[in-house]
Amino acid sequence: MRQLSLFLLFILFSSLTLLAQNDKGTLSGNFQANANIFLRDSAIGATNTPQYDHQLYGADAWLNLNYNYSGFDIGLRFDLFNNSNLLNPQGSYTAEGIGRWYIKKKIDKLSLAGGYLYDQIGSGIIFRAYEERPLLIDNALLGIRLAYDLGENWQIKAFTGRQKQQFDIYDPVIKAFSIDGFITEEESNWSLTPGFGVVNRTYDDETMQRIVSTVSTFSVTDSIAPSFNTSALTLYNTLTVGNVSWYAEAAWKTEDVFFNPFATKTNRDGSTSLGQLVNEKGSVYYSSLSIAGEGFGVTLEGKRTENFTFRTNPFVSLNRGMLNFLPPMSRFNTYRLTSRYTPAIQELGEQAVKIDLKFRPKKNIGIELTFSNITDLDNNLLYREGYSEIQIKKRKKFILTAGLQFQQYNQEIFETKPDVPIVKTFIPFIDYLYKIDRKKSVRFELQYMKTDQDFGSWIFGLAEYAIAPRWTFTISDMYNIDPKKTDKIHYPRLDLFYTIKSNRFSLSYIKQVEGVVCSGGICRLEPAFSGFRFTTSSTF
Amino acid sequence: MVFQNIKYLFFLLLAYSLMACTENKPIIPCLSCEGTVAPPNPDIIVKKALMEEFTGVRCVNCPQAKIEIENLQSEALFGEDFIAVSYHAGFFSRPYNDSKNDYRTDQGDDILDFLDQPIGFPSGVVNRKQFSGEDDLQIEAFATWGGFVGQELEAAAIMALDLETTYNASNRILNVSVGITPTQNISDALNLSILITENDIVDVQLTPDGKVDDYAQTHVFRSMITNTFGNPINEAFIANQSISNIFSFTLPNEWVAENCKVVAFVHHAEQSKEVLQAEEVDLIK
Repeated sequence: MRQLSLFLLFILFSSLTLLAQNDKGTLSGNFQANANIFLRDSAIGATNTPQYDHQLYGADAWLNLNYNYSGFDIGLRFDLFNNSNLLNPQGSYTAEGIGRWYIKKKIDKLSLAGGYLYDQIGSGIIFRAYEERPLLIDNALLGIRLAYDLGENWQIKAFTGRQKQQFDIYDPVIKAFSIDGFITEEESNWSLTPGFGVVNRTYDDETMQRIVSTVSTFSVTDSIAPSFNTSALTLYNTLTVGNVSWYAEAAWKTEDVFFNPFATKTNRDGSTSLGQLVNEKGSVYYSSLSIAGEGFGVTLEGKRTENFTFRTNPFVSLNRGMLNFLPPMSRFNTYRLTSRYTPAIQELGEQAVKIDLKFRPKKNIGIELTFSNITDLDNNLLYREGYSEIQIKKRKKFILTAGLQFQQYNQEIFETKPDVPIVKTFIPFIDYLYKIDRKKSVRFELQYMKTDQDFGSWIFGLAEYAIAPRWTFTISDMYNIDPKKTDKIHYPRLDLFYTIKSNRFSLSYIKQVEGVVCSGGICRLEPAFSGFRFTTSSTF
Repeated sequence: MVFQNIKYLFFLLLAYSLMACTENKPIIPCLSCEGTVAPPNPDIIVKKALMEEFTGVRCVNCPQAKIEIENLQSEALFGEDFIAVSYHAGFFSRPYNDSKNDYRTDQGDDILDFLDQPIGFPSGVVNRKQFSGEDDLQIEAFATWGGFVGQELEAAAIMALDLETTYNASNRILNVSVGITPTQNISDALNLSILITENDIVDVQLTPDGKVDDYAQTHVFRSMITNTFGNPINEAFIANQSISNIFSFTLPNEWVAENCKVVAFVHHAEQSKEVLQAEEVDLIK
């Protein structure tokens, strides 16, 4: 039946494609592929996975086609994974097939959609279906969606379906409703964009049977009463007055069964241990205030999370089966060493503030200051970061970026390492781009991480030569200058990028240090990488 | 105007209906409450569940998983119907410098590859079965293992598996006699796996309270007696006709025979890897 429906979809797509050739529609698409050649290197831990042991090669690819004709919007995506380490960095995943298809149609004020749908309500706190390929997150909802325009500024939306699980789907049923609006007055400088949404998840009989079977092993004191249905609702609004914008969202979740690694479990012999299925309500409060002025901008964010893990069933963990997305409260860092210690979002309990200040004292000078502080609900420090950056530009000549970052990272919590101290880092960095002429440029990066904890201090250097618009050559090395755990090891990387029109190709030789990420009592190794990587992306 | 108001009311009711419905909640049975479990009938063949746990001395959450296994093995819950084997394999199984032994084995590594690499540790595989909603055979959330085991134990057994051991302490030779009696004809290709585990090995282990030196490792996989992925059973499975075989194995000197157990299980050998029946006995009666 499934193959038949795919065949019919293919026929439909082919027919419409023929129409497109007759200039009766628009056919577009994109293609992305990664190919890895794995070279075992036991010195850095690039070993003991099927790829290093015997497969030696792995690839991931996505071919996406979209067709638009007469108000119809149709899409089809072919996904391929050969010996892929995206789904599980320590495992190997091989599968291929139709990763996504959809049909959308707008009829007057009514929008209809069916197939694998990406969507979100508010900022995604109660529901977000999205794709993030580097982590192989693809939470599309296989279902239908109706949206209706209630006049010019209001829209309501309802959808129902089941969440995608690679080339399969999870059994629990998801349905949601939301209403979004826009309120303002003519010639006024204020506006409101309020919204309300509710999501409900219903367990299928087999999932509930498994929960019941699990709960029946609990002692009487730990027993819980799971429900088939769990709902989450959210209220959100953006108030804009002149150059001030204030977003606020409050979300609540009814009782939901989830795994709490910090909950105390009473065993049959009377002893206690940590890690238990619990049935708790949850809440998230999130707000963001932005002020933009002449040459400056300030953003202040705050968030409080309590028991807000919301997944398709309580048996999935890490990045599997997530129904929602909680906004991170740490700065999104891009430099190699400033992004080495990135805090994982704590779904079960977190309170955080972040302030971001940008100003431009002169036309060619930009300054950015960021401070974020994340604690648990008992005010124990999880993460603290101070970041400063100054950028000086001389038009057509150079861009100089320099800065300092300090961090305090609670490795005991984020990586479940008992008795380890808080990792304290101090990272100065400099990035200098010099334009040799209209086409050629060179860029240098130098970063130094000073820390007495974890792996110890690191230094990172990078040199890049670009011939616009096609060629970029990069060479870099990361080196543990004062190691605490390993020998002194070089992690070099060579990249070659080639761009032609809307096609981009890269070939890299990479040695990348390993790391451990823990969430919900489960620790996942992000293994070291050693080998060659070829990537390509095209749009057409 | 009236229509507009009715329209908004309709959507408000729709939103409210998503949250307001009441449901009949499931009844949670109490496995250990008196009078709720019928006494075992010796004439009925009981299906047993095999848990293959992947652990390591550097795995901080693995001691919690061990407690959960012991909890599930308590007489109040699944007792002897739940059999556990702990393979020290994967990233967190590298021994410390002060570890007395390295519990990793090539066979354990091969079985880990065979049963899918988990996304994290600890992880367990119940009857080598992929349950609906799971990406693979591995179940990482140890607090939920009991649910999977309970589901498996509710299924009817389609064979009896009898194990007998004889052990000669002077030459450390172990003989294992296996008898398989199906309750129905089975045409699928099946394998028989037999292995040895050892309990109460005191060594270093990382725990949530830090590294401890006197941690008692349990169900530690020591070695296969059959091939790593089992020996093919060539005899036909005919209802109520027994198939028997005898295997020999010499115990290395460093193993404590008194603490060892023999585990046998019959499992699919082609596309599915599912375990149909398992049994465990003490190496020394």
